[in-house]
Amino acid sequence: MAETRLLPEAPGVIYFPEGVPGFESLREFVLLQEQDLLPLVFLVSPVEPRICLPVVPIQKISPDYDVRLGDEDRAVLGLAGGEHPKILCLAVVSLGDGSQPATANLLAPIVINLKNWTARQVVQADSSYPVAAEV
Amino acid sequence: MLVFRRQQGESFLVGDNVEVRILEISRGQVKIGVVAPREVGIYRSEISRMNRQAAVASLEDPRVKEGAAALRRALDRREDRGT
Repeated sequence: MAETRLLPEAPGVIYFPEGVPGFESLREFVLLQEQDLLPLVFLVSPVEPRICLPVVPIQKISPDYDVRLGDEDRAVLGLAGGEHPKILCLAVVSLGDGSQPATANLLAPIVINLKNWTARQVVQADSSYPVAAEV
Repeated sequence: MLVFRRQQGESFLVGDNVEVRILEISRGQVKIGVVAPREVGIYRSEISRMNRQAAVASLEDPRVKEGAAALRRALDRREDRGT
């Protein structure tokens, strides 16, 4: 099955009101999808193009993944309470090298509200999801 | 590094508007509450560290192509197991 586009195309930038942990000064990212690299996609900073964060839709890795959003998460993402959110959930992937396998961060997925393309890395505080799940 | 002791239920301030409360101490774990304005990001240090570790400087980084291929293989294996 040939996938040309794994994810909906973001209209311009994805906005992280708080920045991305580790790169707090970077608030805007674009989603880069290249067919020969799927299912890996990349969040790339337009102002700091040497910061490319490999991510993968979390369902690809963990089909039953159940992301929990707290009140604060919803507030940052601009999601109204009770509304069934149209969101995209991405896991940050640490690419392995010869000696180390790739891992995905299931503890803190990046959640994007597809209505306003606002995003937050959401820690699943009381879950047992690992920060480095081998993939 | 400033080092000081707090008891359960006590708190301290970082700057004027960030308060850190020690909510509970038990069996080697500390439960912490942070009261801060929304624009102050609060992250576990391992999340920041994992992101910095994961970031690559370019999609031309050889790890990217290899990593994408390895990921596809791993996911294919899972799908095979699943069916």
